[in-house]
Amino acid sequence: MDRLNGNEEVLSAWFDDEYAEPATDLDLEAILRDPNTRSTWGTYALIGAALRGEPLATLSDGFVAAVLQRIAEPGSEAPPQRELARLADAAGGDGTTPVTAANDAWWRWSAVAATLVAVVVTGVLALQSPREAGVRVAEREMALRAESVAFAPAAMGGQRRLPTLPMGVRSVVVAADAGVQPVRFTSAPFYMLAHNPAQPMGGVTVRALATPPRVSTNAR
Amino acid sequence: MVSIRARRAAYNARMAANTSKTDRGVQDTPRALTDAALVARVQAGDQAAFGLLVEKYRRRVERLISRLVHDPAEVEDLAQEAFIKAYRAINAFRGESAFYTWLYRIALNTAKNHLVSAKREVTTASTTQANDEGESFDLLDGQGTDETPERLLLSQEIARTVEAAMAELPEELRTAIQLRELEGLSYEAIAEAMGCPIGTVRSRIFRAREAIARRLRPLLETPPDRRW
Repeated sequence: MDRLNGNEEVLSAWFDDEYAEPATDLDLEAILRDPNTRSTWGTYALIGAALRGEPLATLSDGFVAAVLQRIAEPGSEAPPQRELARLADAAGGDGTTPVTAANDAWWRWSAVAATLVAVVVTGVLALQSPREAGVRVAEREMALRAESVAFAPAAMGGQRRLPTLPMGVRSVVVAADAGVQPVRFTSAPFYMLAHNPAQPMGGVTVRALATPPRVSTNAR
Repeated sequence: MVSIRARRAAYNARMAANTSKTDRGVQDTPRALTDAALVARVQAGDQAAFGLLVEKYRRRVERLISRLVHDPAEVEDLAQEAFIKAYRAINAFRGESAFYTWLYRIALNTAKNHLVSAKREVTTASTTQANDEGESFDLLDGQGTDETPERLLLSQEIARTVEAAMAELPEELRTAIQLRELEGLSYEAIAEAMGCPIGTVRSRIFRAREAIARRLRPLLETPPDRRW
């Protein structure tokens, strides 16, 4: 049984959003299906408006009906939330469109996934590093001479494509500031690190080589 | 006793000050349980639930818009437009603020956008008119309204009836509903101000409304088939 059941004191409190418990679906059904209850709801609204000196000229019962008729027209349905987000991105917020911020759930989870991938890649490569020691020593020297490209952080608000190396960049060299031997990566996932300057992985700096390094055998 | 007119004047001053502050115009209601439940239903596709929200807030929206736009016909059109926009964006409402706070921003932006486009039209029309006739005019002046004498009379009658009904209310009922409708206090705050339990406040406000509604009903009789 609904709580309203002729008890308009409850309706009055609901109208004010002041009832101890929220109106349930059952309660709202009771209000919506009973013309007299809806009429009382409207009268409460009118009394408040009259007391506040709000415009009463538009007393026509056609106002609510007109709004309901317009929203019932084809094409007036409330669009799905994802569609709204897209519209907001395209049009900019005007109060009716949601703002999709960088802290949107999709981006938060993407950041977590990217971090995990980076950690795994770094770990795997660290395990492989003894076999590539000679190459890395040579590359360290080459990296110092090679033209470096500073990566601008990716704009957080736009891209969802998989990370790729920039055009013309064949590899990425990671060199530690403390003089630890640099490591070259040609795999795309590591490129994500370059796009995440807020998490520089313990002081590791990232450079992209525009040209592949020459291996020097007499590097010291 | 503070009269209704004095309280209303104070309320108007507060509202006028708030409108000029635009986005900080309304205080969030700390609890918006019924509104939240209604919004949830609207988001689930219940258009009738949106009707209750429209009924509840239409005059506040009209009042807000009328601070910026002075033609009553335009005010009503813009109020409708604001509600349509709100409906279409309802899935974006996440309940982080009160529903009316969100609606307020939409209505304010709707009115502002209208003013911007009206000003553009005035500029264009003025230029054209000046070119054609050597003089300009202001489109915003002298706009017709769709107010009929009957509607104006009815609204005046309602205002008078409410005022008369308020004057006849017992002091505690009058104070309770004034604090609610004019001061916008929560039941809890009213209970504190009046030194009584919240349940008593709830009862007083309801009794005040019912007493006023009894006086109003003859004026508002609407055939059931014309009700939304």
